[in-house]
Amino acid sequence: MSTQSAGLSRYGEEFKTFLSETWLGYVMVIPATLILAVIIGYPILRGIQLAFYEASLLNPEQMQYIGLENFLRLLEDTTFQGALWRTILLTGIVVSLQYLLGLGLALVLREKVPGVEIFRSLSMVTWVIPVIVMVIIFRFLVQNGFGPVNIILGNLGMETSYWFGQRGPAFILVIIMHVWRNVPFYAIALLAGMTAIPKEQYEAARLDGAGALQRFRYVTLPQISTVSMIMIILHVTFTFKNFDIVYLSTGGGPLGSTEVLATYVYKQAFEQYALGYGASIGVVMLIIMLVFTVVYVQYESAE
Amino acid sequence: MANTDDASTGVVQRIDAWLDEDMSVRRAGIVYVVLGLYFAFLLLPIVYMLLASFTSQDFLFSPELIPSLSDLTINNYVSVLTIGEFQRYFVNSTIIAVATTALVLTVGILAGYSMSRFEYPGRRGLLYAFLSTQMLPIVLILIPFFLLMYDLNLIDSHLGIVVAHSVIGIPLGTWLLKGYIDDIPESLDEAAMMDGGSRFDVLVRIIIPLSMPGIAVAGFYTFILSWNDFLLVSILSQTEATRTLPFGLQLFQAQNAVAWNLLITAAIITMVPVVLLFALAQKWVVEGLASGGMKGM
Amino acid sequence: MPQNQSGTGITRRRMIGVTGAGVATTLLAGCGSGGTAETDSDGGTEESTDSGGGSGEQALMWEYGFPNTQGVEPVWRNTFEAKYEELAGEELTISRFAYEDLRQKFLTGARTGDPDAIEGTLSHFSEYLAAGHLAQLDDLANELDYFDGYIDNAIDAMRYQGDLYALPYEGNARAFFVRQDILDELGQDIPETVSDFHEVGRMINEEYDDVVAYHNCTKDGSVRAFQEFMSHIYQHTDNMYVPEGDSWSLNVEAETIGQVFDNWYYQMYAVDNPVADPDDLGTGWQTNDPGYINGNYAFIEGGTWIRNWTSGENINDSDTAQDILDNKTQIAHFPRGEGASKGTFLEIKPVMANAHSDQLEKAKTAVQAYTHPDVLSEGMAQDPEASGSAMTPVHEDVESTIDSENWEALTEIFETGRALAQVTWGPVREEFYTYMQQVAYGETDPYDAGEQFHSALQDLESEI
Repeated sequence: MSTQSAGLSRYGEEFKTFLSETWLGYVMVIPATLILAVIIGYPILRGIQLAFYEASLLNPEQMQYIGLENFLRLLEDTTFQGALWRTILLTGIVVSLQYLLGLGLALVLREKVPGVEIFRSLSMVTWVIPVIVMVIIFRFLVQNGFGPVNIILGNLGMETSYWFGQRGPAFILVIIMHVWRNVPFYAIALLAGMTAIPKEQYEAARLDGAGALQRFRYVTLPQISTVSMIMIILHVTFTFKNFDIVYLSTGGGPLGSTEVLATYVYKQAFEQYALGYGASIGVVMLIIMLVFTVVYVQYESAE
Repeated sequence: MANTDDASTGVVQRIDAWLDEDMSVRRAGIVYVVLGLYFAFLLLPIVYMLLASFTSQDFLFSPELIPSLSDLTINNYVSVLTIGEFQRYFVNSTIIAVATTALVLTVGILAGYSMSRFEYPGRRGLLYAFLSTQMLPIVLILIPFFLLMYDLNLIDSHLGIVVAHSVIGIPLGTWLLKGYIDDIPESLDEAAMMDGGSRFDVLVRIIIPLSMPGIAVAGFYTFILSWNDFLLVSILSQTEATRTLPFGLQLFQAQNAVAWNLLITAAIITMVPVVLLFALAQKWVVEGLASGGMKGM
Repeated sequence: MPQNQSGTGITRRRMIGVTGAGVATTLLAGCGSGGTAETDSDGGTEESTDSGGGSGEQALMWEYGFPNTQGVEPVWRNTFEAKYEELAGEELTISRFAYEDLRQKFLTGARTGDPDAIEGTLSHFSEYLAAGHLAQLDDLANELDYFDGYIDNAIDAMRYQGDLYALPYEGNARAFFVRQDILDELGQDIPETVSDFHEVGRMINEEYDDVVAYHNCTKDGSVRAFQEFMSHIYQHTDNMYVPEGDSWSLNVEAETIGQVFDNWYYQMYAVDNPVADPDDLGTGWQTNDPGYINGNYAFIEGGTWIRNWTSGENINDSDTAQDILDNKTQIAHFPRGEGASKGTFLEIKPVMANAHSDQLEKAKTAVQAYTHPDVLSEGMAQDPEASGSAMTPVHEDVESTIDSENWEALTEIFETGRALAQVTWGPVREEFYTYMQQVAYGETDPYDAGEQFHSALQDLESEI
């Protein structure tokens, strides 16, 4: 490095800084990149490759290149289209509810009322329950005959049923499980974001005559916009590709009313043995998510 | 910045005036009511779980809402806690989750710092690439993933599970950390570097302390992700030696029968350390930062 | 199936594997969490890198057969381990997985040679077979002097095109569980025809507030639901598919499927005066079995495992359950529809050896030990947690554990059972759930659904 002659111009110095800075930036990002590239990047590339092949789960080594045939089949597959629409709908509803409720919870958890620490500590409890246990609990709650929800409904003289077995309610229950599970995580992440906002900014806004709502809108919201965006993208992705919540509770039924892309992919791969076709659905999911993320991030940073 | 031409401004100010008025008592009242509503929604199913863990299976299948005193028992806890395998799974879960968290935070802070503070070609693309690894359902890449891990000799080992969990934790962890680091004013970096500090000093003395809430959130996120993972462990674990708790819940399920009360009890025991950990972390983060953290600069 | 090359794929995979391993190891060591690597020296990873030496490593077996009650001596498992040790001169590693995980893991990773032996169900057997994962066991069978003692239809289910690929250890047939006490109160006999059953069922629904006449599984994806359906198909035909040349040929009429849909789903849930409770739609065995044991249902379709529900601390220690199973239950043949005869779904549990195992001899020894009549009679039949498993044994040297005359009919029902053909059932099951739910939810006329399902099944002939 010091072999460079000292007579270099200012531009040379800057170039050197640029070089070393860039170099340092790369070095720091390399460990994460390498782990991802090796452990998951490679399998993903193989997965994408599969989408252009016909391959059977029972004999994955023998695969045949069929070009875009899998994708053309998707255009005529009404079950796929139904699942796609349902997945988008589910994701939209779930993430909106989660964000609004999570933001609300973050705001009340921020208040310094006596005992709020206890609420804060308890808040994550729904998020740490294994999905299988959550599903078991919810199934039990709505069990026909002895589920608490139905006992209460029965006592109130209302209709009872195994609600996971009814078309509309099954979908609503899936939404409720998603919301129930993840709202606290939004709340905590947003709360952490709010905590990092310097108090001076609130003081300044207050001096400017801003009320509580205005302070929320012009100080709090902009300051948590990055965290908000991350939480939203994280959960859009999570909800969009979520498999176990639906699979364990309804299996995609009744009558396909809760069938989402992930359960459909699973059935294609592990029941129909259609690895290639399943992979093509996965590629569609990947494209939708990528487009969503890029557009959303660009939009947010443009703001 | 506080002035708008919104038509709603009038309403907003009226509400503000009302809120700002006599404060404390009234406001606290509202906060408690809202908290009450939230926690009724969040905790009722958990309360039901707790009840179930203290009763026999008979109660669960009865059309009763509240167990009678004679239904209550701590037998479930005694049974679950004395199972040798359960203790082993507990140890495995702890080792794996701690190692995963350490790994993800280490590489995540470095990557997040790099993405936040350094300019280099492909920076944004890289972030998208990170995130895109999370967008395929794992069932699809199951076979190539398994074969790769086999070739890397990472099947049925703690290390393999740690690496696999990290892969799920790194993209979001990195992004989350980058987001929090972005919020730290760059003027602080510059000031430190003026004093002769290197980039590394900035990282250790400025970035890490100031992004503690983010580190805690990312760390907690990773810990939970690893602690709760079922799918990856189910793919990579071949013997009892590498099982973790969620996968170990199978102990209580047989082909045609489930010991619901033991299963739920085990789930509660699984939850306890995480809730405790979170209680500690949040106190340290949320309380600590607001008071002490910012003064350090 | 298309035939194509993939050799290059493997080489590339190995290449990347080797470079990747170095990278990952270096990285992790540098990141301070390499310490965990030291704790994982056990398990099957070490030997898998040996190039197939079949060295002194212990064999690995995956299974879900042994009962799993905690805090009780695992009699059956201990007997098995002792038998394996006696035969192999060393111990083996047993790992327990739920069937779903077991199947997914084996289909994904059997080619690596682990596990060496595996226990499963008949539908797993067909799939593993189709994937080429199973070792032929005829030479093992020839060495066993007790081989002829396995019952014929169990052994038949273990064969494919004349060759033997598994040995059976457990068999159970689906039977009609009847609340005799309720029938007695109503002065009714056990229904022998479906129309009698519908009549009695509706009578029960009318007379009893807290008992529903019938329940069966209608959850999407429920394995049990498919098996229940097959029970009724087997009342009409010996096999849903029969081999024809290299392919399979559908061996059931659309009309028959329509009738089964009508009798067992439409009349149960979709008509105005249903036999079952439409509020139970979409539930699986988790509702079915406890529901019966707690007295909520008068009839269900079940098997020997229900006997296990009252033993130990496992499930239900109430007197109600004990009383219902011991005194109030009568086991019977299913009621028969028009043109149907006695027949039912027969579950035979196979134990298999991984064809890719690098210690095939030990794998076969594990199969031998698991299915050994000594283990079945001294282990399975003696294990209080598995008392149901040996009610209808698959080997003549094993004595049935049936101890109550109410349950005696099981033996005869067992003989009318048909095992699944070696078809890869996945796609068939998927079609079934769609049409079954359409009928049960009253969306489609049962006979129309029968037509449609029938033609879907025909389309599958060449695929399965």
